[in-house]
Amino acid sequence: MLDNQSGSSRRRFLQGTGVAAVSAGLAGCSGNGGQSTETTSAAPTTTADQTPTERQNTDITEGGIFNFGMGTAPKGINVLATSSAYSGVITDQIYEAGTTIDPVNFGVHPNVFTDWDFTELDETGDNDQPNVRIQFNVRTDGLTWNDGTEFTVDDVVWSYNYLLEQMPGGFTASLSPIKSVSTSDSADWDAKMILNKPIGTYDSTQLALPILPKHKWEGVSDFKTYEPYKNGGPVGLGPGVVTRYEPDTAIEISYADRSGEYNLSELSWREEIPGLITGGPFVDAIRIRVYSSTSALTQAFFEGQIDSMYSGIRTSRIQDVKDAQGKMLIDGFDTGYGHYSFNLRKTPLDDATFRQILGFAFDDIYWTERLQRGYAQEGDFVMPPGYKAVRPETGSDQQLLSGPSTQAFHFRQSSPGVPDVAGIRKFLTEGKVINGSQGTFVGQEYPGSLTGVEGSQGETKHQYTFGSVQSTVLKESDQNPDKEIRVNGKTITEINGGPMTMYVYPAKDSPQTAKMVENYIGALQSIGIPINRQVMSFNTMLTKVYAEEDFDIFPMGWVNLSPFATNTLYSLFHSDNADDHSVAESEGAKKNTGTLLNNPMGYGLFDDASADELISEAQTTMDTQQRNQVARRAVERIYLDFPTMVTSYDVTKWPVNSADWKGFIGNIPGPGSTYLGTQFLQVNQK
Amino acid sequence: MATEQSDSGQDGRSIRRRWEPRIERLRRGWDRYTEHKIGVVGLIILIIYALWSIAPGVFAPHSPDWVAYLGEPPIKSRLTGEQIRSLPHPPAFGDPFFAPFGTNSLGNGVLTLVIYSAQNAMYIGLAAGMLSSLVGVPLGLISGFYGDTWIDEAIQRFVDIMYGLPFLPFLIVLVAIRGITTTNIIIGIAVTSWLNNCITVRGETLSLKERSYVESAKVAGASDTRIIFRHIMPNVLPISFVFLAQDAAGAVIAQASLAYLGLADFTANSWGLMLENIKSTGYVFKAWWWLIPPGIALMLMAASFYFIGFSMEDVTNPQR
Amino acid sequence: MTRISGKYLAKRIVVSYLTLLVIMSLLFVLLRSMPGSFITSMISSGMTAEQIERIRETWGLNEPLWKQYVQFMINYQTGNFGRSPTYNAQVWDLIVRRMPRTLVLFGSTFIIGFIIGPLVGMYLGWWRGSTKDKSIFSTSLLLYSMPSFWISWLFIWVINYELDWLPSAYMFTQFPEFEWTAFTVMRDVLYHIALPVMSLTFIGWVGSMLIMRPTMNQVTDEGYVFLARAKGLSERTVMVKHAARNALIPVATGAVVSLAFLIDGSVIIENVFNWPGMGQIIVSAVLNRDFPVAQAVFFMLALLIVVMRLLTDVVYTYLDPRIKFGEGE
Repeated sequence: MLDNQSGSSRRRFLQGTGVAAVSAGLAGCSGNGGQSTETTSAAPTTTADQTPTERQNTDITEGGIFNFGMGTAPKGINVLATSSAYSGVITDQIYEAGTTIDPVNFGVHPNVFTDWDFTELDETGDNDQPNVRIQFNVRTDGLTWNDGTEFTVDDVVWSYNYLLEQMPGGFTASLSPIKSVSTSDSADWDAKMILNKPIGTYDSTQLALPILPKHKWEGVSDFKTYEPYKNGGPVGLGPGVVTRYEPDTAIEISYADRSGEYNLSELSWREEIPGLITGGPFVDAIRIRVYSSTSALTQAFFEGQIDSMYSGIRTSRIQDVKDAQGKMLIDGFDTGYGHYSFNLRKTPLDDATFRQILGFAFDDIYWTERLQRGYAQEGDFVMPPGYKAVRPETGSDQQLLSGPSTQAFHFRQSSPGVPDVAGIRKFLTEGKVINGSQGTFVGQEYPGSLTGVEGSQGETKHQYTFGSVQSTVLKESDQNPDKEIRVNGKTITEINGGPMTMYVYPAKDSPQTAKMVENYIGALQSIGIPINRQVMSFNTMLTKVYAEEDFDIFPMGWVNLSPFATNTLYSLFHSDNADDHSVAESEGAKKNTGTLLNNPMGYGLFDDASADELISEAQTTMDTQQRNQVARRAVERIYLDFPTMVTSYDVTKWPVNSADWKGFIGNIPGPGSTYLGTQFLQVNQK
Repeated sequence: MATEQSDSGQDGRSIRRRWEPRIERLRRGWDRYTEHKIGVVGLIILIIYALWSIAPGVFAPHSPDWVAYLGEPPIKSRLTGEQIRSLPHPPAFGDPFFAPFGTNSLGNGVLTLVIYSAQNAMYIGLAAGMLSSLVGVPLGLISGFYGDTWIDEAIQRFVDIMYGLPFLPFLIVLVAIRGITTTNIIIGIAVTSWLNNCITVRGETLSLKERSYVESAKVAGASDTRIIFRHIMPNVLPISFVFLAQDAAGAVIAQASLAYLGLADFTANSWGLMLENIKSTGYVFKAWWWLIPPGIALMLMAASFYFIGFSMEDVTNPQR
Repeated sequence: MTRISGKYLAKRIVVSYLTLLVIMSLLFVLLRSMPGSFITSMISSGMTAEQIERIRETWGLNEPLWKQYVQFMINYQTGNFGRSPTYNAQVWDLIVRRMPRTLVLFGSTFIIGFIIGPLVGMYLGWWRGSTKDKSIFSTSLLLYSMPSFWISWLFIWVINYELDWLPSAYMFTQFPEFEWTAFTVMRDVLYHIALPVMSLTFIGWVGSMLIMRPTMNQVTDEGYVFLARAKGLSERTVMVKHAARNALIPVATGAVVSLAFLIDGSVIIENVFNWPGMGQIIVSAVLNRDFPVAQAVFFMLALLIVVMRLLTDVVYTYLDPRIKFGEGE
């Protein structure tokens, strides 16, 4: 509830992803963003344990009702107006888009559109970049709206133009580069779309917008207040029909009502993807029960009232699922990462040397093993291990997640759990920076960067020394540090008019984060850094961090990042998405705009901490291989510049009733959340 | 100097003369109080809690930073995977460690945390109780003394308004505005709980001011302030102590409710937070040794305040 | 009996109405002094400044605060509660859907509590000072000291989790297999409401008992009780027919205070038992800065309390011959 705040929200800030700490997902870099990665790459098998993935099944019994549980009520089923992940569980069964991404290889496949192509035009659009024309064909034979109405090319063109006219917030990032969509004059193509700049990932973004029925939405002047269920809907091209909708308690999506009509699951590309089953859905209906607390939800699963639940099960009950008869866990991996981020506008956080020691002081083992009980992997890059194609290890001979080049900022300890204070202080006073060159840093060998990229900052910016303890925070600290840090001769308290603060929100959804912050602050204080914590509600923190950029360090997380990296990197780490306090200041205008931008760190605003060029290059590269290569360099640049410390990736365990059901696909990102729609298409009676 | 001394000497005598009957009254009150077993029980419980608050280290088997298997800080080793999986650990007496009420999921001793949390509850209870008396009693006195004037009317309308705001949701708004710290929680509770106090004191004052001695003080030309504080207040104080005790009990429970809703200051040890933690880690129905003790501790603290309050009500209420 | 003059009644109604207006104003100010805004959850990256402006405009956030305030007050006079940004629905629809559920839970607890409480209070007040009184009284104070969510957990643990006798969530079976008739629905609701009502009344009845006990004790000294006894009526008849009747008046007034107590209880209980009522959304609305919903729920609760106070005041004035507010006005 207080949560469950907004609970989890698929494309937005989100708190608590069940198993993990706090995460936030955001618009613009969500799930369906980007083009295909190497389609030949092996299925990702990063997350230990055996895979329960099943091969194509010949013995499928149709029928039955699959009961599903959610811990938060959906916020409406108006696909344009809601961004709730829980609404997505329902709308994903109703609406279809032109293209779709498979969860195994992240290939972009035909869906409502049968084929598509692009040409760069001579005219130029934004920033003198060439316009791009995309042409595509629409699958009209045999496809109908779920209310029985015939589906035509006209619907698609109308739908895109309606979106362009209404510009719903959740789709803005995909819509804004589109200049126009119209029926094509060419005999080979049904329709065409003009983009005002090249976008490498157009097929998974611009072509993957939901297609709305003209006969229902025509005349809806304000999409926000439209309530589909009250108007005989929602109507879409998907496999389901909403037959019961009481958002607080019970929702039913019927597939039986549509039997024989839905053919998008029979497309031949599905047969080539290991684990995918063709021809679904097989069950008669999905019944969704909404619970207000995780305890109630978990309990309902063990009592057999529900066959599965959204996202995953809390770590404290994982062992119980393993022990239970007829229940099993589907392995999956994270679609994002947990992090602590730093405000690069503040001294000494503007210096890579200082930021990097913040990584040395973070006890990764305490966090992943003790607090997360081993259900989290130690973090390094801003792309989770499942998105292999854009991880810097690809193309090198180092091991995923454990290669020495991914361990540059691993916890430096003198004895188990105790930070190596002397070593870390020496790193500071000697003014070192790990910028991609090989070397030994605080007692640990670093072989050099994986992609050959260098950090933006070659040497330290400030002079660090240690003197007597002056700040009250340190004097009162239980750690009793013997020395306090001086930056260019002054204490941090003197420079900023107070000690550094680390934000943290109440323990409700994440007692682990609260505990970790306590441990982390203790470690930093023992080094001699004056820092304390400030408790605030999640909502207050969002405003403080994302609107006002008034913070030093804050812990949060992202989910549902794009497997193609570029959109994510752009919205999280490009200076276009950072509030530039300095520029506005010189104009005499408001220093800080108060808009919510996803790069509160201010990474990219400063020459000595930026990956702007690499990110922009990746975005406009149309060739997949080339683009991924640039993206990998950008990812490693961000790692070395350290504006954000990636602490962990969740190990997702999605519980299902395996006594009565089979057909689940495992070892994919977000098996019970991002790709839940895929599971619903596959599940069948045992 | 000399005159002052003699003055004080006289004062001393007059004070004694003035105070003797009061001490006598107090002694009689105490005798009457001890007739109530629950009052005595409440007092004993409260004294135990007070001792826990003052010197938790004496009573608790460990420090709050103690970790199962590893012992007291400074801790220079880590738990093994197997050890972590055994947490929360049911009560253990020496093998593999000593934790009579078991441990929580992080390995801290439950009994230790229960004892260390007494301080927080005691502080919140007493501070919120006193604060709400400090607001409620003077306002009630003024309202009652100036009964049926615009002052009374204004205060009563204000009370009406506050009554219209449901306590817990309103408290959530207050805490959300001011931030989640123990101090703000106390202020929030006080702001929302002085109403009954005010109304009862007003009623009491209304009847007291009709008494003959107040009338005669008025005739003798005593100022309003003097009448209120010298003649009326001493007589409403006992009843306001009853409310103080009840408000204190209410505050302890309110704090726990806030914690349940996720609005607890987790930098402090508190019973509410322990219960909140068991919920958010998902062990509510799995670790009874962690669920029951904080609840019992909370209940006994609130009950001890009620016990004392209701026994005092009997003492102050001369009926029977 | 005092006749209540129309003038008195009119005055009381006007005062209640004004009280409500002030409460609304206070809420408007308080809710907006909370840091953060619901707009946070509606803005996403990649939105242009224009679009953000448009969202702000849609929700009327660009108007100066006083204009927003005036608009808000006018809207509420006409029953327009606005739209909820987080639920993306008319607030009025939300209230209409949830209010009855809260009233069912609330009403049954209220009734049961007000049967048990005064009965026990009557008994204890009559036999005040006896061993029975002392032990029952101290036990009930212990109950009164329990945090409601904790006792609910214990109930759920034993009755639902271990014994599996009663369900621990919802108001209905969500996907019923049985035929939908008035009888089956009633039975289903009763089955689901049992545990939450049990948890809430377990603590809630003590409130009215605490009022009944001392007043009952007072009336034992009244003349008519002696008279009744002197007539040779049985102790039981005297207690129930003569004493208790008169002691009930303050209990009725005290009901308003317990009402507020029950609201707090239902906020917690609705959350524990997944009861999709008003208490459940008020907390999340405040925390998500969903001002339209928070305002509306606060308003409904305030309305409930103010109306109840008005009613009890009037009834009390009407019943109690000693009070003469109505005259001389």
